[in-house]
Amino acid sequence: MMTSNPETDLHTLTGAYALDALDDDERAAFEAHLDGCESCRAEVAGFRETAALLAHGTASEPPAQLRAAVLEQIDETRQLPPKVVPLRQRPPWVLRSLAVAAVLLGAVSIGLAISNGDLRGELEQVRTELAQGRDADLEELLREPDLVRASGTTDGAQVQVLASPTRNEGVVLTEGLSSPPEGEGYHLWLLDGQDGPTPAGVIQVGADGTGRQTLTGDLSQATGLGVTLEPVTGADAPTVDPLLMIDLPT
Amino acid sequence: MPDSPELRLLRGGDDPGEGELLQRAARGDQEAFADLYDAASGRVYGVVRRVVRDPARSEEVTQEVFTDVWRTASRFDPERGEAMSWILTIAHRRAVDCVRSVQASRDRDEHVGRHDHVREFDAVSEKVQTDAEHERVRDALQRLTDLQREAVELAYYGGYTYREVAELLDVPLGTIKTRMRDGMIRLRDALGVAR
Repeated sequence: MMTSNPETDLHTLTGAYALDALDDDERAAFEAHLDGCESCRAEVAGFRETAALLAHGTASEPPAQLRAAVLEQIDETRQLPPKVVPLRQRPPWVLRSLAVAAVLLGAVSIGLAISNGDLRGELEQVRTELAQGRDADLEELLREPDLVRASGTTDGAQVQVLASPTRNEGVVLTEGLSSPPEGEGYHLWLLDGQDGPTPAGVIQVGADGTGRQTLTGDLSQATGLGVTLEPVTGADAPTVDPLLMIDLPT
Repeated sequence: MPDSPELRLLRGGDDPGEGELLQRAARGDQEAFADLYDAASGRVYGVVRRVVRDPARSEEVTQEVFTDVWRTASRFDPERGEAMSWILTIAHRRAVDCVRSVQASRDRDEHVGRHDHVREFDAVSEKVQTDAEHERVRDALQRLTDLQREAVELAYYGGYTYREVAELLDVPLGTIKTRMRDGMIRLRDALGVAR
């Protein structure tokens, strides 16, 4: 009959581990265990925060010259690059959008659908709604002669872009977007084919799955629109791959 | 479970600022890093000094800690915990590694006899942080049993491995593991750390 033996049961080491009370070999073995043990990971995380608080009670002013020494050293120290490279510095995303544009010209769709026929139907519907006086701004936008219309779908959701480069105004309308997880949102990004994506707003998704967002940013230069799902932190660059990219005809 | 009021007070209103400083430092912002040094150096040096004892070596280790923080700042994930905790975790680990690599047991046994090991909580250093912080940690530690507190303090402030603690106290390994774990559970709950 198996009984839990504290001598060999790794779970009982969570406290010691968080207190850095394991020697190198045991630490390595325990960390290997952590990889496969969710409950230990969770417990260790809480213990680590707790252990760090123990340091709050022993604080002491370091020698004054240490500050300059530290700042001098870090000036000469390379940093590890971020794990997820901000898209501003990551050409593949931009290249991919160019590739997508090229593919679209070839009339093959990779999860994107641009179809004027469909759009016309939808626009009619939007116009009808407008005719009921719901949105004067949108109505005006629709009248713009240089109106850019584009659309894309992903996973059952549809995203429409209506933009006027000359007026530098645009709107994104969505249907079928599921509500984002707590703390996350559907971010919009504008691409101009040169610099990295710039933030253009976060789509407000209604309970019925429809969404609407006024685009902010430089629409006169935009050649593409991206949508990502990520935490709402006001970051100025995407941190995840896009759900959807829409080419904006210029 | 959200942070308790005690925990928020303990961490101070600056805490969200430190996370941001660290993230900015991760992108090369040396000024942000300097601010972070100012915010953290007292606690870092304090814990290092407490574990390492020797002042010159403590200074070296503290410098290594901050260099490490700078170098690996991009690894900090704000979703996973607080910036100050991340920094102090690095600090404690380096302090302990230093102590264990330096002449292993002999030196340390000379410093810490059987009676010595339960030092007064505030013996070594001049306090930089408010007494309130000090009080809160001390009060939280009081919620542990004497045996749990002894095991936790020997490990954390003494830098001993749990095997060394077991030997020092002449107690079975399993017992020490349990004391440390149960002690940390009580401490975590006393300080209101979210689970």
